[in-house]
Amino acid sequence: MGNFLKLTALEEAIMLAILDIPRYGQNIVEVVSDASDGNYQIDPGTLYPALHRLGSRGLIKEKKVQVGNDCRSLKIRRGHNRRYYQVTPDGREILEEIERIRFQIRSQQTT
Amino acid sequence: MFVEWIEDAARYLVFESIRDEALGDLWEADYKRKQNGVPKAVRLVRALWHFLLLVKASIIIFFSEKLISGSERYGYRYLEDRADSNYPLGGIELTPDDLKEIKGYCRTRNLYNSFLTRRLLKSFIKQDSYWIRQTERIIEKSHSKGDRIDCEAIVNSFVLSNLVRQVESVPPGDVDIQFLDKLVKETKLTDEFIDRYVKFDDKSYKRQLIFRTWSLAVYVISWRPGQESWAHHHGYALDVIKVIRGQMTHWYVSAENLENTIPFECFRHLKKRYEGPSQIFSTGDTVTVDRRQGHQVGNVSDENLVTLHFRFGHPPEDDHWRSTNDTEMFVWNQTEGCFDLVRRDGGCALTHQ
Repeated sequence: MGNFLKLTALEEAIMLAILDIPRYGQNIVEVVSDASDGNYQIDPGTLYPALHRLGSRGLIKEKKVQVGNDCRSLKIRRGHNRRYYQVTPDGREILEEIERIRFQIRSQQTT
Repeated sequence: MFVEWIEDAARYLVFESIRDEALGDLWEADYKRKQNGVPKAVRLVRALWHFLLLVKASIIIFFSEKLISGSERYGYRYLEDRADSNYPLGGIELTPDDLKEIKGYCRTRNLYNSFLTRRLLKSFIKQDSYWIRQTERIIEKSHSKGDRIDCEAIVNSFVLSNLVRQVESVPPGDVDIQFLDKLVKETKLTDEFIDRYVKFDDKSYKRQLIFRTWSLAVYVISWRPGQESWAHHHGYALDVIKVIRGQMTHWYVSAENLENTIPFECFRHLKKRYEGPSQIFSTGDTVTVDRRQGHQVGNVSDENLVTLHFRFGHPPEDDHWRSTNDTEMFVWNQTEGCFDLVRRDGGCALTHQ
């Protein structure tokens, strides 16, 4: 599993934000920011490369959604589509594996 | 003016793969600032800064694409492209080589523990392969329950899992008969595995479920000579039929007759036999039955017939099902269903306890 387990804090935060609910870029930024009481702000300069990287590794999948049916969203986004991201089964497995390792390390420290 | 300037500049400075969504996100963030009463000058500066960060992101993505060679990547493809590609799993493709490795691993694992098996097969299997890891998890599960390793079941459940994930990688409304037919042709279950579901009945043809998800049902129908279905259609379900053994006679019923003469499959009281022209299909052939396509199937030969069905949509509801016992459902419940379709709880946890 080795290299496959390597995730930065940013990548992990992004994956946790889209673990169960598909979200688009700006929404991911907001969710992570809210979860950290505004302390952790992901800027677009790091968000999109991270999404791109996770996608390349098969840990997240994406789906382009046209906002054409929602006139208000279309106007707000000036005609640009949203792209929703969600964690793949592989990505979920990596997160669970990381959690398991953390748990084991914590257990070893308490015994 | 400012918006146009950003949009124009983005055409040259923002990487194409992120341009559409990133600009949309930029304007959405700007709209929220406007709603929060942020002064226009501040909004302009923030939007400009956001844009510069998009340029930075584009440069990073550009160089990462150049630096990472194709062989190091994981075969990721955009979801909307998958229907036309050979990358069904968005990162994990099940290849014939993988299947060989899984079979080899299973057989060796029947004799030795995982450590020794990996050592022995060091040169023959990819140690960090997703499929080998999944195989090991299933084997651990089997051992914990005192079951023997069922290599045939493991390999075929991976093949079926591959199919399920491909079908579910596109919105249900986008699954058409051509797409399903293509996937079925790529889904090669072994004869030994299918034979487990073959059981003939002298009174009528019988259907045996292999597995079922919310969208897809795969089952085997065993036909004695002379047994046939009535003319029917499947409503809005799709069906691809593969002849496993024997000769299948198949009738398509033209669409103009559908409403008046061909009943939906559940209406058993409207039994009608279609007498029009038929086609003969033999081992390995596939037949597609589109939404609301009337058809009729039969075995008019002297030999037994076995057909494998892939149904997208509601499965048939009639009295031709054979009851399924726990042993026959082993494949899905004990293997793939445990780690792929169901969350790792409810007794399916393997290595994470």
